[in-house]
Amino acid sequence: MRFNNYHDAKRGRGSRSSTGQRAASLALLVTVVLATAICSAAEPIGQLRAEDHRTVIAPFLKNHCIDCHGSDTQEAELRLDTLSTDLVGGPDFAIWAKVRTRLIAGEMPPKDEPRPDKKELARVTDWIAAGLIQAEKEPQRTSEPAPPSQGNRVDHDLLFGPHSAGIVTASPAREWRVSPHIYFKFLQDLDPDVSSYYGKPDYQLRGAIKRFVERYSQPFTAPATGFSDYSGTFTIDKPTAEVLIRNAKELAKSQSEWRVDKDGKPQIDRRTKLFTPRHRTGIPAEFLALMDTGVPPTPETMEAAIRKQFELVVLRQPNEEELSRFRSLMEKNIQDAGQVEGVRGALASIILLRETIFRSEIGKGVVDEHGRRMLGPRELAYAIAYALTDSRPDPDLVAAASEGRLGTRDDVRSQIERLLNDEEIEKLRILRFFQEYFGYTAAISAFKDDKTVREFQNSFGLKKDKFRYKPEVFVHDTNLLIQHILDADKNVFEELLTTNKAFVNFNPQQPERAFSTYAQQSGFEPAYNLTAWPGKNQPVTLPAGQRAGILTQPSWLIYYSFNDRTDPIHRGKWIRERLLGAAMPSVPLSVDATIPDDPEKTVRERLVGTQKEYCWSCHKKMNPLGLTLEMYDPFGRFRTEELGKPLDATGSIDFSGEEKLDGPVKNGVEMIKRLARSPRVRQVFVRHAFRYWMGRAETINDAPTLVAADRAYVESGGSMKALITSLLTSDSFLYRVRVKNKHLARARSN
Amino acid sequence: MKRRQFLQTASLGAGGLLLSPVLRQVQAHANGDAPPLRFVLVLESNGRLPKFMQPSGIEWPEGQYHTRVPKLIDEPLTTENKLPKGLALLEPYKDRMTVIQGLSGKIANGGGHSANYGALGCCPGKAPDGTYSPLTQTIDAALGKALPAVFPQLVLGVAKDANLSMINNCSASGKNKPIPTICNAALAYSTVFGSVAEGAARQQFNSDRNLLDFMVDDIRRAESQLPGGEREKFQQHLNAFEALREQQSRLNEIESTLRKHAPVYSDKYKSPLPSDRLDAHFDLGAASLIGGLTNVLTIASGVGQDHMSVSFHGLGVDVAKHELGHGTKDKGREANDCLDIIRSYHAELIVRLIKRLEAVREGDGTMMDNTLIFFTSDAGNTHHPGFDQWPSLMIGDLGGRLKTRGRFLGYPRYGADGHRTMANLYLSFLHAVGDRRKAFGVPDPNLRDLDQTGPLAELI
Repeated sequence: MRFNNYHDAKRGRGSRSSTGQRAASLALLVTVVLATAICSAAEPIGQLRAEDHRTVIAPFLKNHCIDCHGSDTQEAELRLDTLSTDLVGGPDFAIWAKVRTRLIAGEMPPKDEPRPDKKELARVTDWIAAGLIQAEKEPQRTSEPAPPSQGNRVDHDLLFGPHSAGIVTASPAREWRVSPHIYFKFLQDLDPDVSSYYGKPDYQLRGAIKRFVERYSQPFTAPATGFSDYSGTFTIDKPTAEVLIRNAKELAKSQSEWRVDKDGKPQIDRRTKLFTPRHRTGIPAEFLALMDTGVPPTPETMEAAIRKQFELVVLRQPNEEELSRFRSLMEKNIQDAGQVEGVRGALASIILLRETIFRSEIGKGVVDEHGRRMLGPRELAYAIAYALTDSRPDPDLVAAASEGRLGTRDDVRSQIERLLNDEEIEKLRILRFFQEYFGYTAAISAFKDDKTVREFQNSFGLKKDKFRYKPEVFVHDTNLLIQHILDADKNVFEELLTTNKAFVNFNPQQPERAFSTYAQQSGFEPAYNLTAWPGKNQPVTLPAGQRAGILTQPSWLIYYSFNDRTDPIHRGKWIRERLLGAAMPSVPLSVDATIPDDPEKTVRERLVGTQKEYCWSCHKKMNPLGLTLEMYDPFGRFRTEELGKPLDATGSIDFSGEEKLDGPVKNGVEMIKRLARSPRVRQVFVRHAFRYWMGRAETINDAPTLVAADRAYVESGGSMKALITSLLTSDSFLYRVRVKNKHLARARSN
Repeated sequence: MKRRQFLQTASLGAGGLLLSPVLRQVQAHANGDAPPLRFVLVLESNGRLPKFMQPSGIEWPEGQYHTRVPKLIDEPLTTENKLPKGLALLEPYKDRMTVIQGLSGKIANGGGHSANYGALGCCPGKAPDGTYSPLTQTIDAALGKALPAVFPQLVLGVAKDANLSMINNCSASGKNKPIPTICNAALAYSTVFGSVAEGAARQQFNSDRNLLDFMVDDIRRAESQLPGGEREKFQQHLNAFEALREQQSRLNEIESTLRKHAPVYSDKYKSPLPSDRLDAHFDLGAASLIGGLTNVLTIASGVGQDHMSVSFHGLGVDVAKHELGHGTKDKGREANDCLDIIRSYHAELIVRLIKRLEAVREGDGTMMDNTLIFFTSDAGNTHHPGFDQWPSLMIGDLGGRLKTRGRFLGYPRYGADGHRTMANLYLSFLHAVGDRRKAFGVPDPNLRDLDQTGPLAELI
């Protein structure tokens, strides 16, 4: 019964995912597509000839596929003998793509069937690849960029194979809504109640930030998992606009506040004869000059305030037209709402300028011989600043842009190197890439109930009254470890996957004191299999057989676990997607995906249900990977037994697409170390870095950028700085092409 | 002059548009039009076992699974049938109440401890991309469309994190179009009644109007520079500000209504305690319904996987709802007793709302006669929900459009002949207000042998 239902559901899903896939793979191509002209340099692999289908493809299908997917039987509701042979214009594009993926991964034909001849197989997959590449260049296949979760759908071998030579690439011209982090940093930099505490003692700044969070609302929500800042994902809706307006008004008020005496009267500054600003810095005299209702505003004082606000908010002067528009608004507003409210309203309107919310990447620079436009100097200044930090361009960048020193690839490279090598500049965006890639920061919200935590802590003899659970300490530890590896900047990715070093409740500012004394008292080290806090000499080295990198850090293991048990399925899914680069479908609607509770059975035993045929087609790609991490308990503690029985942490890597990688493994550490040596796994990592820094999923036409970034990483001995620099000086980052309306219209009507 | 004529003349004189919503309703009634219908949807976090909604004297399996009942149970609710402890305060309203058991909502699975948008949308609790984004229009948005007002729907609520002003969690106008729940009661107040709240408000109001006019104009200017692909984003940005401007100008028109109905702005609006905030939200919601500012009010008490674990310190229960769901005791009290205290508080607020609606005359009866209050959970039948049933209750019969007076309805087990889903219940709401669509939400693929379309025949 359920079997039938599943297939029924699967058919529904199939049709959805094929649309999705088409939207995804094609869409990506906003880049490409519009730019058929640009891509003419790219030669498709092989020739897509109809007779190939007759002489090569059809016989292959007949020998290896049609028995199960033909007129008599249609396993998985799939029939291959009637597929349209017109790959480019036909309706079966998505199915062909899937066929190719399955063939390359070795999933099909099934293991127990005769293997196809390798040469023959290559001809078939090449024929499909040629079609896919050509199809993606067809304008009618364009639509919106792929959502973050579907980046893996572009075929890995097409990106890193021999087919990329000669492709000329660019990103679509776009407006990119600023991230929640950038937006809040923007408000903080402008709000004197925060910025006047910059450089002051930590506790003062913390107090200011606390007040800030109470006064302002975050209008933008970021997805809880995965990369949060994609250019195509966000827009402004009515409730968001409401919050933006409220924040802008709050900020305008804070920017023009004065001190009052005991009677509530404004204090007057003896020197300037103006109201005394509430904060010593950050409250412009131009604004205060307009706050005194005893002194009526003049066109000059109003314009001075508008100029100042432009300078502060958008780092430029208003043009004459803007100046007169904003002055009329201020005048009208003063008339309708009184002087103080009127001026503040007009100041708020500048904070709401579209360019404060949307980063413009239209391509205002020169047009090259391929018809691509380079980003203009101002666009570049913002793009570079936001690629590495949450702050707007620093004075150096602004100066470079305005003085004509930001117009070439070399100019961009020197700015990026300056920012990367300046220790004083906070580059949280780089750490955030790893946080979003690995996902461990969410350990803070992973639920562990009191009972489970007590049992965990009791299991190493801790007294009950010492009980405290602070998962944020585990996250802090992993942050430090990543930063430590980034500081060394050598074989960064491999180190992240294999290091057996760890920080344990470490406080870099005061190494002799733990980061959290609560955590220290309540017994926190056992998650690392330590019996006591290791003290100031950190990182510590843990037994090599027990730990291998971030995936064996308690933070990661806790996030990918449930209250009282591990979560091999999601761990396996993570490895399959983020390391092996596969696109996994979500749970079919008809599947009741709950693992039965049974305290007598190990998690491995409880997962037996997923081995039923209809479940296993997907679970075979997750469980054998995730189960190797059963060597850790739900708190990330290394273990050798479960429920009193010797622990089974065996598993295997299958369908990786890289022959040397596949095969059984003894446990998670062995699996991770093998994965860390794989070029393919490294390239998948590079693909993720691409998505993060370009703010979009890759397309086949980004192949040159990806190949170059991978090479830069390898040739620099695994330097993250080199990888980032390569990405940020690539054509994908620097150039824009315009999407024509008619293409979009056609895509939508499809 | 007869009353009907007077009203017609008055409306001509004042200009139809300027009539306050209340006056418009009165006029509509005088014209012989039906009075407006209203919905209040109250969602409380933590799925509840059927026994916590089950009246005594009518047999219904206690556990979470719904495998035993072979056919429909349709019984009257009488004085003999006592409501369980957490709902005892609703006893006086049994004569216009329907307790409904056995409706499944399995499609809403996947969202963890909450169906998220699935509770009101009958769609998967988690989107295919792994996020909790909405996949369909939810019932409150659909009803809001059928029952237009200045605020097509008002969604107010509380969340685990008291600092959040607004969250996207349960209500949506369409796929990926969440309607935020306003969690900050002070913000909710200023959104609805801010323009008349205090003296300086008039200035503020004018400044806002100028600002919105200016922004709409300013955003338009940007359009010519944009590449085609970005036009849609641009249009949404523009629409957002235009919609705000439109809303603001409508609030301007009905200023006297706002003044008349604005609730007293008290400390509970500023309180960080969820119990106070809920109280404030009900208060504000009642005023908005009475003032005709909205006809669809959703109260989301801790709805959504990320927001469900609210701590009701104000009620003397310190353990958060998620932990209560796991059976954690609070100061020696059993978790279920604590959940009863919290549920009982919700019932108390519902009773207060009913009393306020009953105090307003409408046609030959009161506003409550044309209102339906729906009380359910965001997570169906248990703390870790499977959604094979979704214990709920309704009070009010929408001016006789739904047969909800004093009934118990227990639908047959999942998959059996005559089994129905939450979508069918929501279709009953929609049909009652004239939206006669056949299907709602995403159909359950495991019920493909059953007809999942149309309203519940028992109610219509």
